[in-house]
Amino acid sequence: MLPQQKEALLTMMTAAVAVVLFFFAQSRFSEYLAIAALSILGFLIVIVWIFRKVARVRRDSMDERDIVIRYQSGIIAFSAFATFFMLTCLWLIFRFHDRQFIPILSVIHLMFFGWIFLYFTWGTATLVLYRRGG
Amino acid sequence: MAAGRFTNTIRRLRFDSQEMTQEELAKRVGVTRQTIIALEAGKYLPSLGLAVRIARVFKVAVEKVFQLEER
Repeated sequence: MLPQQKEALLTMMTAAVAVVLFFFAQSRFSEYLAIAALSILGFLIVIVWIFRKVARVRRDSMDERDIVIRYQSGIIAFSAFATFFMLTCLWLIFRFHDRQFIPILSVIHLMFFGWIFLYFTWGTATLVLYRRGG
Repeated sequence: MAAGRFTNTIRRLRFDSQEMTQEELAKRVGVTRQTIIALEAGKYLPSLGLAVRIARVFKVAVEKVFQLEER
């Protein structure tokens, strides 16, 4: 397995752990959920960044196929993220239209799960593209 | 524009070149072995630069390595 595939797998696993941590924080520290969500996202980003450093996942160590797959998975993930973000915003608008304000918990959910969705789709797209050949 | 499918003769050329391994070819053209595997399986289309480098390793023209099957 290439380091890039390991990176994608680790990203998805860390994202799954982050979701578990988020629900734990929501049930125990709901008043500090915004801080908890940001901390968990920070943890997720740092873990993936450390892995990239350790496994030497660098652009100059990739060949042309790796770079093509990286661009493709990035485009797929960002398109999916934008779609998720837009649809969730639409849903929030319709749901809270009468009240004219959106509860902060919904905004935290949008932020947190938007980022998690981005990581999941990026990881999945990377693994699928490597399996398909690029 | 005419549609077509690319095929290649990398595997045959490797065997004709004293059974060159995928690893060796990968090293000589500057890619990973997985890329050579994907190329041989027809799952990945190389850049023009990589196609030329592969042809140079086997000392043949690019058209001898990659063919476009017109439909």
